[in-house]
Amino acid sequence: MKRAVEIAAAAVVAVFLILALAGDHPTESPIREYIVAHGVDDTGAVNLVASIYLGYRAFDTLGETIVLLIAVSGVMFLVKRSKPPADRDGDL
Amino acid sequence: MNSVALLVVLPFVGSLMGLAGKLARAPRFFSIAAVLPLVPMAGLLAMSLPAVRAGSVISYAMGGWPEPIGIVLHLDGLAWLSSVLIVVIAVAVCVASFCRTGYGSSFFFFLMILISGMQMVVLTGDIFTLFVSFEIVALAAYVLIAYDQTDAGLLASLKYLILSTVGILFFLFGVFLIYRDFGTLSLATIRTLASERGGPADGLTVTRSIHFAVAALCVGIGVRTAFIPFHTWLPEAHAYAPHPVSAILSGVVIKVSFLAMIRIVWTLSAGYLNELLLWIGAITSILAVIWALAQSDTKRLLAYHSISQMGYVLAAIGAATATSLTAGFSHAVNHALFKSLLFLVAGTAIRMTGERDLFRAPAIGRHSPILAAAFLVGALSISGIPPFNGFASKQLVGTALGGSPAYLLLRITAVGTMASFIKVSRIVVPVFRLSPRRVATPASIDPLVTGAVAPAGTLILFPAIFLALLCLLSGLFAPSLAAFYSDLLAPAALRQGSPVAIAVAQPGGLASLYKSAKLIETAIVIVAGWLLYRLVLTPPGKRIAGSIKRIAPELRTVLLYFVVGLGLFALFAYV
Amino acid sequence: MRHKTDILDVAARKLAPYMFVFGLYLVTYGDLSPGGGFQGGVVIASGIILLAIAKSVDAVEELIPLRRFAVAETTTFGLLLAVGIGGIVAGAGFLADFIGRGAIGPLPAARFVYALNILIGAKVAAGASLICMHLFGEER
Repeated sequence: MKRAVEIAAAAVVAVFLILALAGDHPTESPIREYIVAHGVDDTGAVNLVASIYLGYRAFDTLGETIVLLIAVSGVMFLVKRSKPPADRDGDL
Repeated sequence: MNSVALLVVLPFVGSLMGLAGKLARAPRFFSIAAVLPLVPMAGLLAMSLPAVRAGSVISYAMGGWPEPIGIVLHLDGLAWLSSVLIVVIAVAVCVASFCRTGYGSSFFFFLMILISGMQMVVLTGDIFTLFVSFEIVALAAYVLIAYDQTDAGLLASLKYLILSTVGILFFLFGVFLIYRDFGTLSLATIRTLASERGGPADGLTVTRSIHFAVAALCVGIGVRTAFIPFHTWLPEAHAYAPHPVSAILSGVVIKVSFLAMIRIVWTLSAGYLNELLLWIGAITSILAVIWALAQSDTKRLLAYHSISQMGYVLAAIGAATATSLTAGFSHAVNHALFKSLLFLVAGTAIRMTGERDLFRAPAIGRHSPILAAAFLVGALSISGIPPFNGFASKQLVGTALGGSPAYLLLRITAVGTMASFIKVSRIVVPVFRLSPRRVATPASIDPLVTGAVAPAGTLILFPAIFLALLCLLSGLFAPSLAAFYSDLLAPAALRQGSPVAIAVAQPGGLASLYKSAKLIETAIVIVAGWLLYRLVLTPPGKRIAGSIKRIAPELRTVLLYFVVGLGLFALFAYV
Repeated sequence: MRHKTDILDVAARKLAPYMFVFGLYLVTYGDLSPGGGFQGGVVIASGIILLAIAKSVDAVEELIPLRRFAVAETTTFGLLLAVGIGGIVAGAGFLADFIGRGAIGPLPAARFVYALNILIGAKVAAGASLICMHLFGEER
């Protein structure tokens, strides 16, 4: 019974993904055309990927490096202090 | 250029200070330096009020790249109000965190990252930056929840990590679908394109996948906002997090993600979801209040109430009437104020007595009357008693919902809220200790008598008094505040493509709020709440409460809930 | 690390320098060819991790103290913010190109992109190896 429910759930997700991905989609993108035409001039980077992630969308990149920073400090913090802190004020 | 970017950059600079403190081994100095950027942030927001109030949008192109090529921050009325809310709660939480010496500068590093992540969610006009900022918020929240390194905290953090990662995967999938069909990530451009195509209402294949994109985005944000069926992580995460962290998580983090969801629903003109949101909101509020009533752990009870009150907000927004956004937003603001107050004071009470169980904890009223009074202000606010702010915004929600059948559920919720706050108030005032359990605690081992209660500390009094005053003032000036909110929100909603025009609420003075019919209704709620409270304490009531409390779905069941939620949203989108 | 052989030890020590050089190449030529800070940083980090697996975490720590990684991580984060704020100071907006562009020649033309790539490469290399070293350290 449990298994059947789980299979049904997986089927629902699969149908969702298939329906969402099916069909025709526009192939032209004004942004892509702009970047192909102006990317090198705007940022100076010949590698257009670099011109996007360090030029046009540098803010996202900063965000991603911060995600990495939190991951690093989180791991360091949680792994380092295997000893519990002195004042745990009666929490579980 | 204006200074909107500083709202995001300043907390990052603060977090850098926190990080430097960890390396420089001078934690106290750097902790203070870390939270100082909140002051200029408040100043910036105050300075931008006139322009925002006049209905203009302050935009800031990151790196100078205009929309839709680059990322643009927009400070409009909605973003301004949310931003102010974040700063206010953050200040209170930071002061409260200084009350405990256990938190080093790395705590403030994570806290400031959390704050700037929320500012990014609020300000950004780009759907992929929204994804990045959700990740920043979530990662900072994982660490903060586990910060005390208690077993329960680590487990709650892990659960939140797994569930919200599943959720954010759906969100990312939705972003992909949108980018594939619109070829842009900027919300403003997507809005223009969607309206050019006649909205997702016309029956093209392209728009069908946009429906699914909306469903996937809603699932992703739903996990963060924690409405039913995505709520399962919240009670543990908010209950076992360090107390100031609970306050900020319940106060603003869940609301900020919900605001992002409203903006996406507006942008893609997914008005068909309103009916679903209305009912999910109503059902969320009533189910969560039943769970809350069954809890005996103080912070778990408060956490369930966060879910329940978010149900109110959801229902108000879903009603999609002229006052609904104002109603939903005022309730969100008011809930942020009183719920952070309640978490801070309850957390301090737990710290003082060392007891989380509200039946066993001694009342701190005699020990710290100011904290007890502040807690009662919060309890009265959340129960909707005049003249506190909860009363005003719940009445406004009632106006927004009108005669909708969903409002019946919210009325029952109000009774449950009343009852559970009579129950939880026993941690501050011994008046409510009328339960038979009192006999089981002889005075000789009462920690109050034996002097085992730790002092509260004076620093915690500032945020408690500050938030309690805000609760009272926003209740007293509720009509003019509602007018102020709708003044700010109306142009923002219009710009972001809200299907319903926001009517600017006219300040009718206190008289319009305190109509006799409303007061009688409140009196009925109080009486019914008291009766329900007594009912819960009877032996059969306790048995039922015990069995509700034991409901703890496993992870696989929770993931099934997710699929049900996804199916619901997709179905509403598809039909 | 119980089953250690000389082959692993020698191969790791011979291979790691090449990985560092390749990582550096990816970082420094990120503006011209496929690659960039993230990719190059991860390649450098994998060289460090290879050494840590083949030798031991202690051996790597002897080479470069772990604290130095943490300092590098923090400093690069600060420098990234500083570069962003530099754009504000120059009046072009947060994270805007305020350095200007050079001529195509032996020096990189896209100075801003180049600077960001170097910073991100250092940050990712430090961060990724720091995570792994801490997790390996936990196993001991």
